[in-house]
Amino acid sequence: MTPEEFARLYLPLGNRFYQFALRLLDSQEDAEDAVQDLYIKLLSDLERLDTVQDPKAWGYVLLRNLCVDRIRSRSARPQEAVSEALAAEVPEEPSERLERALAAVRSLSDADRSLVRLRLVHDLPYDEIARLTGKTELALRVAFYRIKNKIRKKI
Amino acid sequence: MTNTENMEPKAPGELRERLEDTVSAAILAERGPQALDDAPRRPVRWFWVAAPALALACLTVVLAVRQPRLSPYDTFSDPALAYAALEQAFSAFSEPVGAGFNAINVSLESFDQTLENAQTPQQL
Repeated sequence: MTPEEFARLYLPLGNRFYQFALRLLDSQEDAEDAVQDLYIKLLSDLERLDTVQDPKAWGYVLLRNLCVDRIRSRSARPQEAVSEALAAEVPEEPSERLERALAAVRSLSDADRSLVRLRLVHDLPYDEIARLTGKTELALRVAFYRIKNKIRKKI
Repeated sequence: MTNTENMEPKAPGELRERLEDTVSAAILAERGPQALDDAPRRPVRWFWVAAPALALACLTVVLAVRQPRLSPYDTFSDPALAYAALEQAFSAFSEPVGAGFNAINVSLESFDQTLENAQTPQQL
């Protein structure tokens, strides 16, 4: 599965995953973090997702594990039995390259991150992005050149 | 969608952006910064080029068919027919010419007869 296919299949599920995490964690901030962790884990092993029959069900399984880990880490009460049972289902840690790329994206300004999302996730060409943002196409090309250099240094 | 789902809290807009940033990072991790390069130009919609060209071609053909012929219709592929037609044309031309010459001859004969009858120039 390509990241673009992943985006089409899994991004619309974000709201449902968030509601599930919010019920378990009872904290908006923790729920958002858990859902993002879920997406990082899913994206770190895209080949495995080709065999997943039900993306929503698989996402719930992984998210439940992540939420349990969060509850355990913030709770004084040990929940060893539950954690051990669920630990086996947690996928391996995300690749270093994905972590570096995520750090690179996070280091960009809000405006630059917005441009990256429009280009990569929404798959818009420069002229369309220029129309949406009100920038000239030349200014946009300069901005993307700058963004590429920043990301190249960090990946 | 059920009523229960409608009442459930919506994910904040920031979460959507964070998730899209994560997907962006995955794409960059897989394909590198060149993933940000501009998408290839959309292919030309040849229909909009071909349709006017076809319409123009059809119009040209229609006009060519309706155009009156500049070449004569009375041409012949058979030389014998052409000769017969030419002969007929010359006949049609020669008959009035011959009649004209006959009238001239009659006048000349009358003139000559007058000259012969006259004995002196004063009699003319």
